Amino acid sequence: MASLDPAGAEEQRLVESAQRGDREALSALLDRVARPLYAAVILPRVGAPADAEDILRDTLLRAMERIETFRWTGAGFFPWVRQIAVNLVIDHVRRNQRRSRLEERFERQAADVTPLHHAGAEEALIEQQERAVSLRMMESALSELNPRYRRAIEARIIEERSREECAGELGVTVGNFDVILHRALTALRKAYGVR
Amino acid sequence: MSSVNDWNPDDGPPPSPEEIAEARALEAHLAQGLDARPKDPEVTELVNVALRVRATTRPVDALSAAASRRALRAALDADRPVARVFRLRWGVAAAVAAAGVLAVAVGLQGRSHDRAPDGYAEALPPAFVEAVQPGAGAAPSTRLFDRRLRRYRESYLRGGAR
Repeated sequence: MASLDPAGAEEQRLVESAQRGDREALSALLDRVARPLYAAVILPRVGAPADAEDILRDTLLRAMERIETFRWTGAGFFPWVRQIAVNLVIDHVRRNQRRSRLEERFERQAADVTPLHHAGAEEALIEQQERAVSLRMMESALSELNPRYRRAIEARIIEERSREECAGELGVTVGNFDVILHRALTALRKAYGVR
Repeated sequence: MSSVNDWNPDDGPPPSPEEIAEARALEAHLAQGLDARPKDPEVTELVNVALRVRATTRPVDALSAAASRRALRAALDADRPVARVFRLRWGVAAAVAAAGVLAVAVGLQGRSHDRAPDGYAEALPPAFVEAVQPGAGAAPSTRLFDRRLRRYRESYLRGGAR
């Protein structure tokens, strides 16, 4: 096995202790992954904060139940628990809607995308890498929209500008801007997937 | 550029009054941000799409920190040894409980075969319980048969011939 840096070695020690039933080690291990999972893996794929929190709880619970099955690799603990989270997000989507393009994207992503995690990585780095994956998915979906719809979403949702400003930029009334945004989000839902 | 009061054909067909109303309702929920709780499933899905875009492009640090702490605490609570045993073994426990109930039921049934329930026996009319007496309540034809049978037996015991 390749030698690990001190942070990676510490993570491996926590994993081994957790697998021997040390609940403090398990708690510390999960505490390190909980926030990146929520902020960068689950919430950007689900949207609703309450649903994302439920999925995170179930992810952590499942990780606890199956910690004995985890086999250490140089990538560390996060990719394993991340895969649990992505699977639960897919289950959540399946429960809430018929098969969508989002689900197909998730499944492709689960097979294709391998973020560059390594054992002992800082939470912030993990979050940044995961956010980059989510951002690529979103940009890909936005690129499929009518340019004016895309601009409506960018201005109102991403830049959080007022309706009046957004309407002025697109040269429409505020009422018409509401309709454009409604259509834009409907189109994005189809491109990006529902929920 | 068209007048601001005109509908721009680049934005698709002109909206119906229903679409305008839906768009207004969606905007009202979007304005509430993370606190939005629409009841209409269609609006909920669109709000969630908007929240996904926001979560992807704008980290919500305070929300993430609080939510991940709550979820971790809930998971640890649910995984406490007692809860874990209960959660993982509930199927076994249910099977054991069912077997216990079955055993008690079978036991009670067995006892009912060994000894008739008092209450049930007491409820029967005497005709079902008392011993049947010879000739008691017999029909006249039976009594005639009894006389012939008695004569035959007496002659047989005397030596045979009628």
